[in-house]
Amino acid sequence: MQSVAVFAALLFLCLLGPGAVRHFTGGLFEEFRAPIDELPSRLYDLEKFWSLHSNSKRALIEAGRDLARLNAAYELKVSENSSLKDTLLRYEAIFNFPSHEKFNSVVARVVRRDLSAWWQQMTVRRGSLDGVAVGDAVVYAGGIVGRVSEVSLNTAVVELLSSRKFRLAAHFEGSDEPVIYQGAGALSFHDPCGEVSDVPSNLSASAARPLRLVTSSLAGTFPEGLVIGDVVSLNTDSSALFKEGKVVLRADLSALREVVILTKVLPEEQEDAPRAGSGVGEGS
Amino acid sequence: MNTRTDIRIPLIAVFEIALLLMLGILNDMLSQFSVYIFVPAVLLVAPCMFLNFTSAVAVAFCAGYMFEAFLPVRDGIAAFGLLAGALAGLWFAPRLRVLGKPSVSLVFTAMNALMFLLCAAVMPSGSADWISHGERLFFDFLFSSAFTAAAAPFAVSVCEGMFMLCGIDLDYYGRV
Repeated sequence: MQSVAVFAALLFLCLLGPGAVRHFTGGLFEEFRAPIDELPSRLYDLEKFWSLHSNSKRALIEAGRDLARLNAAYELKVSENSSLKDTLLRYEAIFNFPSHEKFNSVVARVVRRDLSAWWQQMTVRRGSLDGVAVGDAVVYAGGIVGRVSEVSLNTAVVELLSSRKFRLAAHFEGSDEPVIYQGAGALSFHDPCGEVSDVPSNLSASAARPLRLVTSSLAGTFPEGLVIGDVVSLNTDSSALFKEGKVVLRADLSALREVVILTKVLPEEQEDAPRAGSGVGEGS
Repeated sequence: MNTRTDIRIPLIAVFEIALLLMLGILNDMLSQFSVYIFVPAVLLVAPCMFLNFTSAVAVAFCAGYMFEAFLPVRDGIAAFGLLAGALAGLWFAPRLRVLGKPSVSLVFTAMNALMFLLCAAVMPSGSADWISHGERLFFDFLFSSAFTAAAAPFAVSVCEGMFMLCGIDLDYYGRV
């Protein structure tokens, strides 16, 4: 009888305890787990360091030479970019245009990915101490990665593009008509995917002639024109007025090691930027 | 009941943290194949098999909270399933110890299946339609069950090896 009472009491505690504890200590939990989250990533860095350390001098010299060539090319691009930015700022000043929304870019290492039937998230090694805030856009060389959904001091959780909770306004390349994109998860042994709705009925897509979906300026946190994915088929939706279809996302989305977080530029930084001429990262 | 401090408790706590870390790395690697293993029952193996009821409850609760801290769920939605399963496991723990390792595998796989299905029932779908969600759940369930069946006896052996290396005599504390 006593055992049954203990069991019932513990079951009752199970029902109420975890929710209450997490409600009051949610932040503490996040900070507690952050170092555990980071550990595999740090170990990976260490492993990479030692694997590079074991390279021969000849291999290092060759790698250094290749890097020097790349650096020279990138330096040229940086100076071109800086010149174009200055020109743009001058035009904005002359025509009194409102300045494009600008972002600072923060490069972050991916520490953990959780792609389950319920959620599609990744944890990155940058947090509020680096200026990351909830809602910031996360991108990589191939396009969009997702949006920051939670931030702790040193880590941030990114809701991936394939997540059902991820929804944004977009448009097709070469077209201005807005459509709605939403993540659709990932089937086992398949690449992540999404779906597009509210597509004008005059558009059509096929595997041979896919339509490229890119971000719209209506999306708010995302710069215009970043690649979301390719639409390979469009079917008429239930309203018979619009079309809807499946969006094939990039396969490397679930194998990323580094991403870039676009943090909002603070008003005082924005004022300083034209005078400084540089310092503000990716513009739209 | 032995009143001396049980040195196995901190060792098992460290083992649980290491296990959580390994599960995180494994899921990170499996994400490339869109596979996810949900195995909270593996965290219950060590406390169930080596500790007395009170210590096992305490360690299993801490492990449950840590496991849930890793999940992107809020307000204890999953806690009910996980900790109810944990309690069920601890409840049957004394019986488990009488049985052999093959039974450990079987019982913990069944326990994990129970927790998986409870969570599947209460957590919102992450797919566009129920067919895709069901298919994804089926494969995740299959892999989670297979992993639990393989990892449960392994966890027992690792703990036994760890105690042996630390010079702990399991008979001294008694198998409750």
